[in-house]
Amino acid sequence: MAESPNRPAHPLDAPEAAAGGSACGSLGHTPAASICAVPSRCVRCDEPLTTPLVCGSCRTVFPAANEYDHFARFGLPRTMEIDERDLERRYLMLSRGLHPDQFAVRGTEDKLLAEQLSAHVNDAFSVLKDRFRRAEYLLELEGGPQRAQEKRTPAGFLAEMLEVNEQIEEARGALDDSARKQMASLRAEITKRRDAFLAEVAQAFASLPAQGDLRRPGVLLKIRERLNACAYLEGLSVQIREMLVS
Amino acid sequence: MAAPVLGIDLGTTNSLAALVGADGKPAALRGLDGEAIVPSVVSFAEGGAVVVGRAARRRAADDPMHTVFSVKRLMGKGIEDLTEVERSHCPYEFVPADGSQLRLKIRGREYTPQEISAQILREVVNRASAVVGETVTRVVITVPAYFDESQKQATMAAGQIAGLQVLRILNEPTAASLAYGLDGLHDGVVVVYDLGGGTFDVSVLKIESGVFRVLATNGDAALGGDDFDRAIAERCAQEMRAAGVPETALRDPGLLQVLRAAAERAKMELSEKLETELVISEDRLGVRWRRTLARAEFESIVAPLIERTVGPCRRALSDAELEPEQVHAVVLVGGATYVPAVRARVEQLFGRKPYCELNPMEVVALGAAVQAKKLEGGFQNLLLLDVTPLSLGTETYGGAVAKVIPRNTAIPARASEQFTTFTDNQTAIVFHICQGERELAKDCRSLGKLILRGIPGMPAGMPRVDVTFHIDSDGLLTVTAQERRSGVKAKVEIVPKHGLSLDEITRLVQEAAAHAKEDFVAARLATLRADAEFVLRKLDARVADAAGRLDAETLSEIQTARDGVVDAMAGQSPDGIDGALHYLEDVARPLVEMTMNTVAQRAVSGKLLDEVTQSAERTKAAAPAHDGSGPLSVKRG
Repeated sequence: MAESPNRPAHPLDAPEAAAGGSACGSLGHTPAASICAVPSRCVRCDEPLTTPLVCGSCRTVFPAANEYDHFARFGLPRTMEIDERDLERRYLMLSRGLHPDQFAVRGTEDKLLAEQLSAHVNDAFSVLKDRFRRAEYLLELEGGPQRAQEKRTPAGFLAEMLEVNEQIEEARGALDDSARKQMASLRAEITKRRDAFLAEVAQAFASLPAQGDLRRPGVLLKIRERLNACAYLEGLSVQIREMLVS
Repeated sequence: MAAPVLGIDLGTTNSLAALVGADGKPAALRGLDGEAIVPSVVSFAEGGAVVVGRAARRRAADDPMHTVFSVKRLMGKGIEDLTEVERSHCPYEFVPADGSQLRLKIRGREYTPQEISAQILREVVNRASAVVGETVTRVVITVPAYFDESQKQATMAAGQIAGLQVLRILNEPTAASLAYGLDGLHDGVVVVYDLGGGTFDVSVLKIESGVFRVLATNGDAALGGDDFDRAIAERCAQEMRAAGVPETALRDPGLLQVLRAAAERAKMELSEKLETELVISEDRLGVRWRRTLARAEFESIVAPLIERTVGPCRRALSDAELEPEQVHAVVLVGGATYVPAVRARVEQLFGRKPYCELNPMEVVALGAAVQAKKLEGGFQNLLLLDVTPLSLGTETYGGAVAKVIPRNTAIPARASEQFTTFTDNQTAIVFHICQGERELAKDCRSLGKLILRGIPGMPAGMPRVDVTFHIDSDGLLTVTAQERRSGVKAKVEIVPKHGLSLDEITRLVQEAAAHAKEDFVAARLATLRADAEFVLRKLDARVADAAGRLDAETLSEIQTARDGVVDAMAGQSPDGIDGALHYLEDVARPLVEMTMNTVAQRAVSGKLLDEVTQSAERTKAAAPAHDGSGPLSVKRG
């Protein structure tokens, strides 16, 4: 009998992590202790490549998006420290090279390839531009614990949130102008808190002990806990936003 | 060289086409009659002929049961999707009453909204082909950004039924931003506020050196200027009831059409003036009623409708993570944005004066033309990056929705989720694909089901099924499912519950092609007959009006020409009717001039405002969606 699907309790593995093992950043960034499998020059025109997917000068497309992780697709090293303007610039460059509309007068095969590649690029951009999602993704690549497996948050965090929840419920009950103002400032507070956690996460990634180092699992757990707190805060922020918009 | 790719705005109340000219600028295509706009009205005359556009609109009052307005509101819908109001305002019969794509029963035949839209598309394309001098076959068609999957699919199907190759389904606000971008709008964050005849969209875009990137979109796929008309008509009907107009008359489909048309006219007039008059005169029913309507009262009637656009605007900004102060420009699109109260609300909301340099009625078609040119290989430096407006996901055990692609994800998009079985030895999984923002599947739009069969027997939770959603650059969805251990696969291009299957579309395309020629002659004949009826009715009223002031010779000449038209109408030759009408028009010119002057004088002295002066006035004013039917204007078929 056919039945509705269930979500697996424990995701088996991380597909990107498995595929991205050999890839890493290139161009302008040379992260220590990594083997770069990403080509640095276009095989056709020999110009330097900003990303391994498309050549910015001769517009040649390299259909290998599946082989790279999100960072590599954008020609970036695996790091939390991404300059947003630079990321956006790279995104626009990739889109100019890969969006199906740019292949309008080419054959069907090219167009289909462009559909696939730009979907990968869009996916990568949505992950990389958001610091929280970027951190989750990076943790996955580094083989850290996933949220479904490890639900802990930093000590004292949940107790503190009890009070915040109460405030939100109270405001929901009587949403007058002063309550709205209060919620807007609470939301700003929540964002600040989240940013602070993300800063800690970024720092932890920057000094992440190498594979095999006994201290590594502890650091990954610390990152996990902070990201769990961020997810919780994001949930509250969305609740407040919905409340204020309606 | 192949015929150019045409950009088409397939609107709720009006449709039109545009092309990029030799100067690199898009322009609306005017038909041989000088009109760019084709009213989105289809009328089914006796004998099976189909009349589209202005002529169909003229038939509305006389033949309301066989004249279809606003078919766009029915696209991709089941009967259960229609609101009570929508249902009560459609005089025709719907079939079936169950959950599949609804059909209209007209003169004993069933039509899907897709087929009726195809008639409109055909008319638009034929008019364009006549101007271009080549047969247009490739098009870009715009849709409201907030259309769901089944509505977008239905639009694609309408194009196919019309025998067209639809190169792109393009979101209307995005199209409008392209037109403005080409018109010199500066780089920055732009909000497009698009209130059309039947749909509302708001999109937030970032324009940066030729790349138009949509950051967020929101809207209401069932809110537009039509609703303004309805609100006025409803108010009038209530008052007429109170004034003693019998219920049977108030339910008369012909009267409802007259009321709707009068309400629309009043709305447009109030964009220019502070007061207007509604005159409802139906001798057939013994109804004579009039009232003045002040702009302030009109605004209080439609205020709740305008307010409904505010939430989507806030949500779009919030999704784009922007504050109103960060917006550089607000652009107005759609006929309903002529309403001053709408403009004032938008200005208040964003704290800046909105742009409306380009004609809000044409700007979507202009943008479609730009994208059409791009898909021909032009405008290499221009690029549109759009998003999917609504979240997509699949129902999980227990009825919740697991979101696979969240709203405002850039397209093309691709995302996977893993699922597993719920019971031991479960050999098949049903994936119920849903679209919408609600948590439970039953509250979202059901798009269809994908069944993965042949999973080898395993304990519950063991199989690993990857479900992958791919949205292409038209915004259309494909879903695939694969079990990893066994490699069993299933793939569907989602055929929405309310959509047409590929077989149905193929059949309709063939049917349409088989009848193309006879349909064409019959349609032209029916259009010209409808025109002739209209002209004769106007003529007779004028002759009565001018009684005694016209010399006998002219009068007899007119009478002869009139007889000629009546004879030609009884015949089967479209050219015969056309010729007779031309002759009548020539002969009747002195009469027309005489009555126009009289009417104009009366209007000035404030005694009467009849249809003639109204349309004459509106021709000079930049008013929206006017009928354009001057005193004796006849569409030359």
